[in-house]
Amino acid sequence: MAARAIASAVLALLAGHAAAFHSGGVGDCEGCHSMHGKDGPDVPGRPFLMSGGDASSTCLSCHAGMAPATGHVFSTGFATPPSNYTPAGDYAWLLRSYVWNGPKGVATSPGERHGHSVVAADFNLLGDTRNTAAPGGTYPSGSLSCISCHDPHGRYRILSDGTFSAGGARIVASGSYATSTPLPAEREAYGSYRLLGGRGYQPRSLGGALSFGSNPPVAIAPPAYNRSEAVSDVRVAYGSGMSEWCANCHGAIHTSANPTGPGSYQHPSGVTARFGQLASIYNAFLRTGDMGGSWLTAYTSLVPYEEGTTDRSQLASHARGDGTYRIGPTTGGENVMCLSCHRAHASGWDYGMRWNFESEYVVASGQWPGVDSVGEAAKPANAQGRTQAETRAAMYDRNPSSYASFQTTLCNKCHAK
Amino acid sequence: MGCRGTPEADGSPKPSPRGQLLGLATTASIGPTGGTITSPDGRLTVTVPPGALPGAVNVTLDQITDTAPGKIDDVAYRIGPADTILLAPVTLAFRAAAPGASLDAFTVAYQENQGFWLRLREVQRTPADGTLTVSTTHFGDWSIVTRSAADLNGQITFQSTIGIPFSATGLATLNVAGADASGTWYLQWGTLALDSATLTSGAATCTASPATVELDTDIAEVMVDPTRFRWGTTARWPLTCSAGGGAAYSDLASLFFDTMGIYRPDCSRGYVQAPVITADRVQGAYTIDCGTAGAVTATWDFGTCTPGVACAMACHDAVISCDTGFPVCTSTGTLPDGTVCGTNQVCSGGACVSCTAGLACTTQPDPLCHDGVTSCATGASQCVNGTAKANGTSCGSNLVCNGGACVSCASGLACTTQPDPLCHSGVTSCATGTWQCVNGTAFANGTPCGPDQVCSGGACVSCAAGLACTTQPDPLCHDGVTSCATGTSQCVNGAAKTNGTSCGTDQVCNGGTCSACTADLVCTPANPCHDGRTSCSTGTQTCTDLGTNLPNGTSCGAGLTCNDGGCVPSRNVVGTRLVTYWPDGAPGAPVPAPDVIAPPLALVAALVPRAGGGFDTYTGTIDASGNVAIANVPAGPYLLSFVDGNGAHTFLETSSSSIDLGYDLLGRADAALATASTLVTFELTGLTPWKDGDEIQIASSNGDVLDAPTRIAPIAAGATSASLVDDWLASALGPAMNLLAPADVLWIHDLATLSTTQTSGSTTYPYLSASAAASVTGLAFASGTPSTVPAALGPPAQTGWVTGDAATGIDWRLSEFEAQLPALTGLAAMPPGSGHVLLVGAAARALANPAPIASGNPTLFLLALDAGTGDFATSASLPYGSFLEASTWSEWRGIEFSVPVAYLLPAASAAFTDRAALGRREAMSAGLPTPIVPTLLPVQAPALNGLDAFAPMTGAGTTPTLSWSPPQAPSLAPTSYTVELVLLGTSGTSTVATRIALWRVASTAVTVPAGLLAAGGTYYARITANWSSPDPLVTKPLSGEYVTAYATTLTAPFSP
Repeated sequence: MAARAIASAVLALLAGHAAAFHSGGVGDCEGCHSMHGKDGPDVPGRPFLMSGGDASSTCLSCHAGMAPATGHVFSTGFATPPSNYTPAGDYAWLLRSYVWNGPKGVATSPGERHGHSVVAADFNLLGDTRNTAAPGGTYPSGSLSCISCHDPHGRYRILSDGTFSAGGARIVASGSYATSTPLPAEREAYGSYRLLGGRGYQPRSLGGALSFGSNPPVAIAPPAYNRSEAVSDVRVAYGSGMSEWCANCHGAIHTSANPTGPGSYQHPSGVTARFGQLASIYNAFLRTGDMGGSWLTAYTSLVPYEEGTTDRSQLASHARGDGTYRIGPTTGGENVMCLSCHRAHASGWDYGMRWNFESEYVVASGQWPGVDSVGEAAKPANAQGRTQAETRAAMYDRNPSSYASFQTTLCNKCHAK
Repeated sequence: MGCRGTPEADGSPKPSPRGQLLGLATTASIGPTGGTITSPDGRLTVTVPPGALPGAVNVTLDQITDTAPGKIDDVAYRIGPADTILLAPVTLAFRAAAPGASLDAFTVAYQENQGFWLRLREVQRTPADGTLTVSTTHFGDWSIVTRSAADLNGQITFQSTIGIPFSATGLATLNVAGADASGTWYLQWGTLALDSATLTSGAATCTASPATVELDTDIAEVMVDPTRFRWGTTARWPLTCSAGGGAAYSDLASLFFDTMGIYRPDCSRGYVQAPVITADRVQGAYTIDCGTAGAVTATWDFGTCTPGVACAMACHDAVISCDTGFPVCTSTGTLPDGTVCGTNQVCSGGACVSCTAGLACTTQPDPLCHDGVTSCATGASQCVNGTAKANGTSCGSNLVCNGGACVSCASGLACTTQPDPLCHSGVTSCATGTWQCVNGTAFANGTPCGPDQVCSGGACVSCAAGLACTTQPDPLCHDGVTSCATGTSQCVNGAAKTNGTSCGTDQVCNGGTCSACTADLVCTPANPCHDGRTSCSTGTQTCTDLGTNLPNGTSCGAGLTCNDGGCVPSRNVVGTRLVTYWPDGAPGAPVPAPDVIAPPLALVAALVPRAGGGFDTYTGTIDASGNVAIANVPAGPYLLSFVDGNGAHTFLETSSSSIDLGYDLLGRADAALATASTLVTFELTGLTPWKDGDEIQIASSNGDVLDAPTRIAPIAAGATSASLVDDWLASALGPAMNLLAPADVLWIHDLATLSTTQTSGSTTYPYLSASAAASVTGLAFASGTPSTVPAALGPPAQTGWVTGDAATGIDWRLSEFEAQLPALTGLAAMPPGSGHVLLVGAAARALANPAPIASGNPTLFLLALDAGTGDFATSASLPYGSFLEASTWSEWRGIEFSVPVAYLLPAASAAFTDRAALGRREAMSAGLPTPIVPTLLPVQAPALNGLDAFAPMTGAGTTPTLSWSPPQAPSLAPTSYTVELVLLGTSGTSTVATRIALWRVASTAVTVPAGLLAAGGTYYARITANWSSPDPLVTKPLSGEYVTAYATTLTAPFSP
């Protein structure tokens, strides 16, 4: 409780200049570090003079909030389902655990399993108790924080030739948005997508030899992305490199070489996992039993894909926050990426999945499954302990009528089985 | 693909747009009775059967643009209204080609609600009118399209235990929708039906309605590199459930299945067995196992169908039809009747019927000269002429078949022109179908057909018989000789070799047969007591008697043993060697004799007389318990040889299997002899005034003591008291005496000299008569310790009479005794010292046998007369004191006549004198017999080796036989004889005698066993005739004896 109280105080202090922070590079030091108590009381024992109890708490001191707003990745308050709908997901799902009586007996969906269990003690995020290391890798889960992926000092940048660097040309704009296209001018740079660390990155606070081997992915996000998708989808245009970048920590996941889960689920991902003929299925699939879709309206943010390009202009033209660009894969050169199924931060489902791949029906009897639903939708095998509202929130406030009355897994967006 | 922005241009599975109306339409109102409607171009006719529509419907049939992949032209058909519910299938007949043209290349497709054109699985093709006919339960858009030979159809099954358990079976079609380097893509559709519409969900019972559902159109892929089949499907069956009769509620049974991990990704999954994945067949079985939550197992078997391919259909020309979606072999015409259509099957009217050709049958047209055989040539079984019977086959009396025809011919008649008259008879034959004289029966092999020639198998061959040869079958036991009996020269067994001829190791010939026989084996000949060895000299194994006796005692049968080479009945002689002590009162229990307990031990053997003389010895044993055993003694008499611990050798003649070598001793069992000089001084008073010749006797029955101390320590004449010393170690009678114990009663009595005269004459004759006596008890003698015994003698309590009563005088016929002198001694003249004794004694026992051996008997009366006195008679009886208690003592009277016989060895100057004797005894009682005469007389004619034994003899041998004749009448018949063999020797200048053996026999001869007599020795024999009743010879020969008559004859000396 003490940590949360402190966090609330910090939030109140920083609220005024949050929008001015991060512009693709490092922001004000005082935004995160408490220099001589300038912006607040010195709290003895905090590492690196951070204003929060730890790195993630420091981040969330700005990136948490009740209402969907740009930059909010953690919904404060527990009364209502997490309400931030950023493409990467709401860390608040890490605090929601579910228990139900499943076909195998008592089943659980612990919060820590709902995404990247960052340690943010000020926000009661205590880390992963199941995995000691990143699945498919060796990154220590106890050290997982926002800065495990995001370079808080924003050193990684895109140079004018499209290459990445951890230094050099001055960052003139964030690399995450359409405004940063096509490439920076000579001696200028754009920040990497979402300040993600690149080759050689390793948080200073992390010991060992765990530095990244891959540079950040190429992607463009729409300027407004944290909103309900009840009417239309938010489309982040993913270009390339996402799975390869995820492999900085999860290199062997979903492969036969997975050291932390031998024999576990395998699925191709990345530049080698091109759609090919699956593009047609993606385009045709609307919902279970309805493959009468069109490539013109095929896109769904619940199953995004990489377009297989580094063309920032192309990506910029596809990144929409208003649902006006819905064209599906058109070349077969698109590829599956980790984020095709997972959200980067957290979701309402196990493993940060974008939909509940563990239930029999995503929609049952025309309803979102929930303990407060009726009929098939209320069955534990479908509701899995959630309320209808939570399921809807986890599905980014979509209307269940968008799907078949008995909608099966969205794996069928590509596989139509 | 690969074309940006125009993804519809490729052949990937994707929905097609709906066709556009072309403006050509037909409308017809069709009601419940059914009807038809035909498209404006006449290519499609829709037939609605009665009952398909519940009410009148304006059915429309529009021609539209064809968007179906593989369309054959641009026209498709839309049957409306699209949402019409058909209660029964309607028929759509598409005219796809000109009549008579093949329709295999065409099929019918339907655009389902997603926009996919699905090529139907079941299409009836009627080339005759060029139509494709399908049956459907819905209207919609239809098109004639090119058939794909790569479409797959097949059955699918599911077994699910996840959630509500169910099993389902369906048919699915995989329409090829595209292909690229990664594989082939299919549109997958079909139907799936629960195997049972009733399902169980926990305690609830559910009913599915409908039980059959159409599967959503999905995508399936056969991928390459690696080859894999990816497919899946879902299905849902709405259920109405009720638990235990409760309210009904709705539920849902769901199927989720895929081979990729899309559904139930947290469950294990895999093929049950290796799948089949080829271009024309995809088959597999796959399980998704969710552990305790259940499992889903799917099977599928999809295959292509190629129409027009020739196929096998019994009795039909046939080709594959794919009208059902699956390969169906369809007839195009029937095969001729009789065409074989399987094993023992032929076609008949297009059907394959059972018919077995080539079987024997009997209803053929020509049964005489043809076999009957079944034929299926007409499609049915018939019996036809088969193979013509062999020429010569009889087809009637004197008829035979010839070339299938029945012709005349007589066979079996004798004829003479046969080819071989030497070794065959001649006979007519019809074997060839015509008459011939042929060789008939061949003469027997060996039939002579010329000098040194014989018939052999119908041929005349050379052969010489009777010659010696060596290859006969049995060279071991037969000579070889040639024989032509079989038609060829053979070396056969001739004369059998002599029986006993060796024909191998341990084998000899016997009657021409080599038989097993082993010689020189130990065997039992006819006489089982002879050594035998086997012999083979006769050809058989016999046992030859070697004539050597087996050891005596060798068992030769049950209860039989060998004895001197004869097998005789035998038995085990058993007995005892026990001693019984007779104290006052009752005898004690027998105990082992000392000589069976400690050396020198007694020895025992049975000497069985040998037929030719001598004995066979069967040595026995005596154990420490006194048990005697001699094994395997032949039945019959034998001489029991017994040597006691003192070395006394006794031979007992018996035939009994049970012997008693025990004996009885008077007195206490614990009586002990004095081992040192033990002087006992008797302080006697009350004596009859002592006279020379008087005698004091002491006697104890319990202590077995008897002495006459005055014989060495006389008392002064006239004395009536005396202090009389007796040494218990050296008694007056000789041996040491038992030490007395306090309980022993010691009698001391005084034999005073009295005298009498005969009835006639005045000569007085002294005699001794007990006149005073005393008994003493409480004595406790210790060896070496002097004692004093005071005794005041007094008159005897009673008076006894030597004739039994006072009145009867003595009538003692001494002459009759003396008359036996020659029989007793072989002497004619009475030698000096011969005399008679009339004595009354007492024995501490009943006068019966067996009797305990006592140290002696006290004397109560004694009258001694010299021989030659003449018969002795008194007018009255003579008295004696009878003082001994009758409960212990028995009085008896004895009469004896004895004659001294002197034996003097040359090396000695003094002779040894023995006495021949003749006596009798009887218990004292009134009415004793009188006159007193001998009752048992001596044996007669004693002989040694058959010669007079009263004559000295040398050269008698070491095993002489001593024989005699029984006493002469009126003697009692002896109950036994005692023969004592006495060795004479010298001691200083005196001749001394030692008894070396004693026989107790019932017979009248004994033969001295070898080993007893030694050459150079001088012996004589004592032959005593005994009369006892019973005679202990039979019961207990070594015990004491109460002999009531005896006569001892002494032989002359003899030397071996």
